[in-house]
Amino acid sequence: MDEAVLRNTWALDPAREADWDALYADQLPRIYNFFRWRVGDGAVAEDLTSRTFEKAWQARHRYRRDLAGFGTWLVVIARNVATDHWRTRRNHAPLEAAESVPGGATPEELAEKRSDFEQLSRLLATIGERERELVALKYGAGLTNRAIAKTTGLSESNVGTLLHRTIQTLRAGWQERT
Amino acid sequence: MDDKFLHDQRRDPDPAFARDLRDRLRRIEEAEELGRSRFDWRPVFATAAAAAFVIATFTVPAVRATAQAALDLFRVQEFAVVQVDPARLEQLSHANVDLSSLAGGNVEMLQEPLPSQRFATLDAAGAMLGETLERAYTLPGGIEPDSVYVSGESRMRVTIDTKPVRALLDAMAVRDVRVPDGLDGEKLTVHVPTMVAQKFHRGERTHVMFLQGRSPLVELPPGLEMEQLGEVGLRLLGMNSSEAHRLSRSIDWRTTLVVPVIAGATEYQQVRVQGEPGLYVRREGGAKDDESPNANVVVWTKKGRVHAIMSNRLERMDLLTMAESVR
Repeated sequence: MDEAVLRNTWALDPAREADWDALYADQLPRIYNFFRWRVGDGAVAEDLTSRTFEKAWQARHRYRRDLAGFGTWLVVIARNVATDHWRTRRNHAPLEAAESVPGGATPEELAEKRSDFEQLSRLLATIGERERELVALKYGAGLTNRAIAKTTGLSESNVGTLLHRTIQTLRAGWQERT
Repeated sequence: MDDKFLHDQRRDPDPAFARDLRDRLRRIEEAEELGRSRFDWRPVFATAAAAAFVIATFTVPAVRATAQAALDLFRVQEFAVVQVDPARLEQLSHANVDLSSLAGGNVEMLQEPLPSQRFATLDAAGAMLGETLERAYTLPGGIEPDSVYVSGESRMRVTIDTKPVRALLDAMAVRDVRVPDGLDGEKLTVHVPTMVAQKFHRGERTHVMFLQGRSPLVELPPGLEMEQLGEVGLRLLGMNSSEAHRLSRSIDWRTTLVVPVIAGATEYQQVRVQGEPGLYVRREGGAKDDESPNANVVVWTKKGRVHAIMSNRLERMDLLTMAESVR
């Protein structure tokens, strides 16, 4: 009889597991899309997403009674993971290869969406780090301006202004390229 | 490019990636819960771990070599208890030998176990496995069934390396037995079948777990001097020379699972469950919740299947009553 099986099986708690399942399902798309906007589509976004969740899960007991707080904390970890990633890859091209195929629509729509995001990723690579992070928090992680302000330490009005200018820049670039 | 266009660029992660990551996180959860659980089996097993390793290496896959057997097999059919001196465990733990290397010079996973799956009922688990699972029909007062876990089967091939065993014999100054020659490079195959664990509880403080599964199976090349190997293992566990010699020749190594228990800390008793051989083991825990819990276990075999019922609070009679009702 495998002692590890006994111990691990005993240790599982269905109620707790169900909570974390739901939290994972809710938070995974947010963190994954944050990284898509930060580093581009593909394996790197998945790798950084994995790192973020694994770091968070190691200390998740701190948020056992505050799952909303856990979501915010995940974003903080994701920001740090992204910063570490760029620190180690400073000399590399910022746009990661877009290799994986998006899901959830017809093949034609998927191809168009991927093409749109590839173009958008090229534009994102031309803007500043701070601006790209704000856009990633807004449109990747889906945070409100208030939540972004709380996460980044900027004022809410400053977040709004910076995002507005950044979108204008992206829009201009988009029109030039199309 | 507007707000909607930007929001629409989000997409769901690849399902295979999401599933793999969830599995990895679940392993973190299991490891963490293991450390946090109020009912933690580790203290029960920790002190026996070194002994179990030695015993498992030498005696669990042990068979009585037969001239006619092309392939020897080990299946659990009965149990034998070996008392281990805590002082010897202390010695083993301080020996400058990597105990994990006793598992063999090379372990090749032939079949990785899938992550354990959780089911609400035994019927649901049985439906997934395609078999009717056994259940305990008599439960002590207030005990309620909880969830069911199924652990995946695994297979591994071990290439034997006797160097660490010889080193351990030297370190323990055991000079009256020797490891048989010609073992290095021999291979054995271990098959750990699917295991089903059903949890029960009474309130938050009483936990019970019922395990069932086919016996692990070990295939060994023919002609191994397993009695001699068993004697080596028993000597390493501190048994005196004459007793180790006598016991190693009286055990049917093909069918007997040798269970090490810590002398003075564990009560044990050979029992019969539904007329089949079994073993009851009790370890007294600390008085407070944060100390080592009590551990009461009854384990038995029947028709090639191994069963165990374990609890932190249920006593011997309750466990045996449950065990007798398993069908």
